[in-house]
Amino acid sequence: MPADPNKNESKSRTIINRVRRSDGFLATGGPILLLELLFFVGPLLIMFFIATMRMENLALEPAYTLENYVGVFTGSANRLAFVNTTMIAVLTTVTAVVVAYPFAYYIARFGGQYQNLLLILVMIPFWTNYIVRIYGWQIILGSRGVLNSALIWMGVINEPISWLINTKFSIWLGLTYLWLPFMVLPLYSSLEKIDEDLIEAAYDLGASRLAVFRRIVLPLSIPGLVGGIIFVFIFSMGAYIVPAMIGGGELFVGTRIEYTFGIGGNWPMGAALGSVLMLIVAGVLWTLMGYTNVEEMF
Amino acid sequence: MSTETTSDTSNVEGETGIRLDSVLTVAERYWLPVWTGLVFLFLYAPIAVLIVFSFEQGTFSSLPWDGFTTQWYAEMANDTRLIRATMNSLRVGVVVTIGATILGTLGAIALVRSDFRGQGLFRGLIIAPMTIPGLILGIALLLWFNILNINTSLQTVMIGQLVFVTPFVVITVSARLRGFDPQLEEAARDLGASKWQTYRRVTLPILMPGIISGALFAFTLSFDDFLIAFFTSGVQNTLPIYIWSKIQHGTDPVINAISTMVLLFSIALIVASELIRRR
Repeated sequence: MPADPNKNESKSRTIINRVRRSDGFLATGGPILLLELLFFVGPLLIMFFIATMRMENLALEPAYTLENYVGVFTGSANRLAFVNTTMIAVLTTVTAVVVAYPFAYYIARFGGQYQNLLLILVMIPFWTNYIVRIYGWQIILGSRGVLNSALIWMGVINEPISWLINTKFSIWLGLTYLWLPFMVLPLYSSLEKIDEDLIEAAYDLGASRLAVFRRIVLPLSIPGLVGGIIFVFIFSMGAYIVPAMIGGGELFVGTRIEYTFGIGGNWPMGAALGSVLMLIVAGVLWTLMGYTNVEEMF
Repeated sequence: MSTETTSDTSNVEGETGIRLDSVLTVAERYWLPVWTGLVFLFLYAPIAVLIVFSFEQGTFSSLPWDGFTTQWYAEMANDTRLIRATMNSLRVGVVVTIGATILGTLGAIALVRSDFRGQGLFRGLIIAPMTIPGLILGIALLLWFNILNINTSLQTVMIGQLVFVTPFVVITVSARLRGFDPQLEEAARDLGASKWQTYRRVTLPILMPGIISGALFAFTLSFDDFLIAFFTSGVQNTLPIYIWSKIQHGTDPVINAISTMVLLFSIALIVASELIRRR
């Protein structure tokens, strides 16, 4: 319909193009936009709203109070859950960086012909059911589990090591394990893009290995690093499976939320916990998103 | 071995402590591959344990090994509730995959090809569902369906999974789309192809590997999803929920057998997807 634009002046031509393009946008981008507005934005907004209600006789009553939000910070169990979770999430993120960086660097720089194979080997745990994999850790770490029984059998210890499972340690281990590929993959894609010539040139000019890392490799890997940090931190904050399966009774936000929805029977309180968690997640995303390109990691 | 040592140390000769230097050189040279190997060991430890102990005779997954058996696999095959849960997962997975592939491919075209105000917002909306923890999305959807008076069932699971699976398809397809020259489409249009013909004969074939790998990702994500299904499935089980409830009732070697099958299935899918994507 906008006819042939070849004779028109460039200004009206760009306007016509823009109209035509945005028309196309509704046909192509419209459906997913509708889906996400209706079942992503809508639910999240309603969560903030329901947090202001009260639960009476298993039904939501419109009380419109902020007491649930206040309860997130004043209730000792809730507060402790947030403190524990934040601490473990920070620790997990730092560990993931330390573990993943040399690993990703090695694959990116020295993987050679095996690079694709090594990457697929990283992807396999990444895309296999995480309940199943955490169950594997339960078998390894349990008091009668593989590790303890092997150590006892070999005569290294007499009693099972008690802190392997159902402790903050096991949550930290489980989360580091689970989210490690989320750190490796974006780091890899940044490191892999670094021009080998830059590194060679630096060496030729007499830079030490440390200097090359600090002045070239590290700065150029920032987008991947930030992408990994976003994923690992956010997913650790919102974790449920790990604390529920191998975290024993340790207070954790994820298990706390599930409890308030399930046995606790207090949806508004759970919604308030979820809302505060959501605000933390949004804050992290808002602060760090500018330094990375999440799209490039998949 | 000895020649290598001398050639290494010759570089640093004249500096202090040749012996220490050569030790450091060896450490410096090999720590990266050793580290990489250890990380792979870490990544595969639980997977290996599950597979190994699915063939273990004793009911406790502990050492020493009691003997080889396939009885857990036989038990698994006779578990009707497991089979029903698996069928539910497959059904949900197929529907979600079809939906996510169509919506995601269209979304990718919008993301890469359109140029309009608010594009940043659109991009943000596409990426956000991938980064929000499943727990938050799960409870938010539960509340939403409750407000809308929709009973939770496998249908609500499908909708919920579509929300976070579709963005993955968008990302996979748009990566492919960025790599191809829009002039190919223009050329087709210049040669008289209609908009639809251009899509069908030019755009779609070039995008196909991205679409297929996106679809496989979508299926895997749906098949593995626990949290969305956990909160929005009502009384119906999907496979992860069934595994979860079985684990809650204590350790049972049948879980090892089920886990091994799930692992093998996922591995097959991811390998297929990677092969297609890297083509």
